[in-house]
Amino acid sequence: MVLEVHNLQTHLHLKRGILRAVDGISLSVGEGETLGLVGESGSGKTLTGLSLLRLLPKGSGRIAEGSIKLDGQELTTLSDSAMARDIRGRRIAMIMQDPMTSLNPVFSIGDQVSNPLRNHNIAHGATLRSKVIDVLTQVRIPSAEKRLGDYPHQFSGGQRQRIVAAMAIGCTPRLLVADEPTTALDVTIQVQIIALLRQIQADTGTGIILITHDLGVAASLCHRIAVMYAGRIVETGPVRRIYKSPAHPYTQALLAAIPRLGDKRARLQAIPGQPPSLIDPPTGCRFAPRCPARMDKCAEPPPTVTLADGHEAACWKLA
Amino acid sequence: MLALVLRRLWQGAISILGASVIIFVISRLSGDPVVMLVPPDAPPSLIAEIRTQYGLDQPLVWQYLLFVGHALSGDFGNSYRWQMPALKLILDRLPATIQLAACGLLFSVALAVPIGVLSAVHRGGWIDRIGRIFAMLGQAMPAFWVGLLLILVFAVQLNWLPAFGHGTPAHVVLPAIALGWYPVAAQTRIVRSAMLDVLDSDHIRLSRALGTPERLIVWKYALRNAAVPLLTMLGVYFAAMLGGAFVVETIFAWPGVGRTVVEAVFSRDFPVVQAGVLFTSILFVLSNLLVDLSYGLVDPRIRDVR
Amino acid sequence: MKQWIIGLAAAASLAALPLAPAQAQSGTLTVGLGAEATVMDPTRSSAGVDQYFFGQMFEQLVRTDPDLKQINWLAESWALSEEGGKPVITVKIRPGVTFHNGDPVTSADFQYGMQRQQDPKLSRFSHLLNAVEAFEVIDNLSFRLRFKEGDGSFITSNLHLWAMPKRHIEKVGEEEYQRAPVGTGPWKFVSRTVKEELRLEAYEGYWNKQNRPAVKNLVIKIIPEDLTRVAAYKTGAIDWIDAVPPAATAEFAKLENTSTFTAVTGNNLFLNFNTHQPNSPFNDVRVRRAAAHAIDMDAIIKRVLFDQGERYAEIGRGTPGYDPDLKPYPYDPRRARALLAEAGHPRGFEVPCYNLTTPREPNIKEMGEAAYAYLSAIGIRCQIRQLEYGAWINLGRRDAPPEMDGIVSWMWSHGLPGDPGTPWLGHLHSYQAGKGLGSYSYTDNPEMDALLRQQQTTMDPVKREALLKQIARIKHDQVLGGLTTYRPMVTIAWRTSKVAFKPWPSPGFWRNFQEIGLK
Repeated sequence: MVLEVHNLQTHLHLKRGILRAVDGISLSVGEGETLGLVGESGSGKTLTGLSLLRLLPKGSGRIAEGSIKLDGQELTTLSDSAMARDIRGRRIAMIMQDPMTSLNPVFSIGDQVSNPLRNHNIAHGATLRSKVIDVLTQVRIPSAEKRLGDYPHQFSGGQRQRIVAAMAIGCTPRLLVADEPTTALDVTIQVQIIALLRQIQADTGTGIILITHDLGVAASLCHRIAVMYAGRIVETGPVRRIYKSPAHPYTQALLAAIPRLGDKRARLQAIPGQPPSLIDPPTGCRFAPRCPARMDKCAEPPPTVTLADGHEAACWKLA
Repeated sequence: MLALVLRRLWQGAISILGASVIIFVISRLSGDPVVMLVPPDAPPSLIAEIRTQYGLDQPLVWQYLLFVGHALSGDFGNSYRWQMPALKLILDRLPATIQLAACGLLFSVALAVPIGVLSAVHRGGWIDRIGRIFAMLGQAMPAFWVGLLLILVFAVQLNWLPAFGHGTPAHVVLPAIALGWYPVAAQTRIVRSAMLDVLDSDHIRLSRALGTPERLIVWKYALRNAAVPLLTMLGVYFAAMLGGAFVVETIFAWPGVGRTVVEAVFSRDFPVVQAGVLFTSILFVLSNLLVDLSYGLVDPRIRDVR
Repeated sequence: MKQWIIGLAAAASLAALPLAPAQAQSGTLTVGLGAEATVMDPTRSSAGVDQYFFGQMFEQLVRTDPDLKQINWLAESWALSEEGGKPVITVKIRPGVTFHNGDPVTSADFQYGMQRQQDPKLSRFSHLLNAVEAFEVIDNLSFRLRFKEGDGSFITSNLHLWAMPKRHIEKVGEEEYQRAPVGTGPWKFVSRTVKEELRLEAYEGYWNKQNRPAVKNLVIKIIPEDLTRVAAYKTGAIDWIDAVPPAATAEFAKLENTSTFTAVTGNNLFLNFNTHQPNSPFNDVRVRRAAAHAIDMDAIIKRVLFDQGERYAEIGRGTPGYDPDLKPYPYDPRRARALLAEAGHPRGFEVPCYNLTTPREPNIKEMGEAAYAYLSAIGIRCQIRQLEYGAWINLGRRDAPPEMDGIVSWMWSHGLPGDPGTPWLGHLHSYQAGKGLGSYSYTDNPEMDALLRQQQTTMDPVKREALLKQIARIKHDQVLGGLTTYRPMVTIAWRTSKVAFKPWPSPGFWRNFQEIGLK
């Protein structure tokens, strides 16, 4: 196991109260494995990714409880400078959503890609330069050697995302956290980026956590999927099983909401209602207020039920 | 790039020409210079003689054309008061004013950048609060007063620096502080707000996510982005320094062009006023051009957009 | 042929004690002035401030000594006489006087200098030599000046002429000469940086072995800002300071190791009234006398000028025509109000009062405001209009708009000890367009005009003195040509342990380093 997260609780301390954004999630990622973290906006998936890197909002964000182990090393007890020195960009790297704003406009790509390598003492001087060219070539930037002095605005969106990927994999991290890496790109480029991530994983064996709300993207890249709702993971399982036989009512509703070609319905099938406030969340199942299969028992926290090998869901219906 | 420079120079030339016409007309409307050049008991014949000598009895348009004609060959006439070439009077003193304005600007930037950056990084903290008070003080205290205060403390009481004059690097320190004090407030605010913007941006967050030390993030990766809005204003502030130099030059007996031109205005010494305004406008145009060109240095996106 | 020998014997009047033996000429002294000359050539000068520089390097035939007496200087002797009804001045030049380049001074040099002064292309004072008809060289060391008519202020103006090195100027050319002047004075030009400093070196071949500098190098720094100049003195950057600001004079008097010298500078200030417009209330002499009684000038001098001023009635102490029996109008506000009522203004009246703001004299703006406040208190309600120098000059002139329609704070220097003749022809004589008379005058009094023209052509000092006194009495009684207020004073200070200084006047100023040295 590359990553093992157990009962992670991340709280945001706001003026109006404590927002329990991530309220006890557990997950794991193995070598060469891609885990999709799927959910709607506000479900806590991005904050989960940030928690892994301990990049929470200064002052208000805090990991209240839980453990995060990377290759067995506990990350929650490390100091911030240790995190920057040893973990961030070195053993866990991040790729963000918008490639148009992820790169610093006033520095060359050569400088920006060499940065993590330099900061983590991977290479210096001439070796650094050749390493940068290598990694840019790896992400399919043509004529990388000639383009070291070019600036981000001289590249297309897809290329920029590749450059960000190059920055991320330069130090061959153990885990890549990709937060909506394709959302801001058009469909044809999306395919390229997904292929790139698959390539990287094949080449380096790095684990990937793919945070997305796009079930289609998750299907094409992930081995397993974890579905998040209101700060909790409601269902985890291999990607095929999740899509073929979703167990949790929320997962079922999500999949049902995806429009299919040939669908003759006039309206999209949306999930009625709103996610609950995470400052004062309901004690029982958080999806209960919107769940079509709601029972009285749902007022108590639901147990995690194992349905098959690697397939779990937290629902009273399955118990 | 060349096209840009040429275009700016052309625009600058028009501004300078406009300024020279305005000054020419206004100074002649301000009063009769001749009565101020002769003793009060001078007979009308002497006054008429001098007026003719200086061509002041000619129609205004003809006077202007003569002025332009001579100016193009480098002749700005003799100063009425100093009886030496006005051009020499101005050019000899221009370097001193440029030196003063540049040092003043340097001082203000040297103060504004660290305070602005630290205020943004520790937003709401004590540095932020003190920085704001400090900058406000700068805006509340006029250069005249600051100059005298500096002389009193650093020259008279402590005897660390000279009270007046020109020549050694030590002589520039107090005048540069007196001159550069005022824009520190505005410049600090610009740096602070630009830094706050940048520090919030995606690429900075990514940089942090990749483990870049905070020190580098603030002083290299963020600051260079924040420099662009500051650079915009530097041209304006340099012009402000040129304008405000007169007060500081008088207080510190600094032999600059600001003093020369203002004294010439009071004594209606037209040739000196004209030459002075002309060269100050040229300086202003050139400094703005330099600032424009330097954007390309700092922000590569601009290099390709023309 | 009448002959009046007027020139004073040379030796007896060189009363000043020598400072130090002539050999002790080494070292450098740094002094600070508040203004600088624009032109260093006395024949091309137009502003009084130019004397700050050329006064150190150039000399005249006669000069005013520290006791304000006129003594022979480059002239060994001179005499006023008459030939064919026209005045003649015969001059004998002192032998042994040389220019800084070594050339001896001859009659030709004085003739050359006079020609320069009479050339309107070079000089702004050419009109002052209008009366001189011819310069007659007798020999190398003597010459004669023939006048076409009497010139009353010629003698009191120290005979006008300056020793100018003819051969040198013709050799180096005008431009080079303006850059590096050469004269006969105790100080020789070394270098000059505009707006910064003037460097001088004591002239070893200087003719006057008794009254001369006792230091080799003199550096004159220009520091226009008052407080900075004071700071420069306090930090030791300069050891002699000119024009201590009035507010600081009390402090300087008590400063340790500091000597001060305070004296009248030769400028004469007054308030002039609108007496040329037909409906002006000031046409009535009672109103003018009311104004004279309304102002407590002593209080103003004490409070606003920090005692740096001396009251005077028409002519100041030491100037020809001074009458100790003529006293300034006493401060009497009740009498002032009574006079106003008598003249038909029981409730007073409004009047524009023009005030000069440019500090050509210290605190002149505040002085004007104080005087106008006193006038307002007794009913002459002043609407103060502040003017900077250029606008003020334009207002004062009769030959161009705008018209001065109220009261104006004015000044016209008599000099040290000077002479009131030329100033009075400017602001007391009636305005005669095109003649250069009364250019700044609002008075039209034929009796005055006649007396003024008479003194203008009277060269006999005794007769002239009587005329001046007569004019002064009438002027004072009728408050004509303005109400005299005060003569400004200047305070100079220097470091007692380091500097030996004896103040000598230049024509009209005290910034003269005839006798200065290091102890």
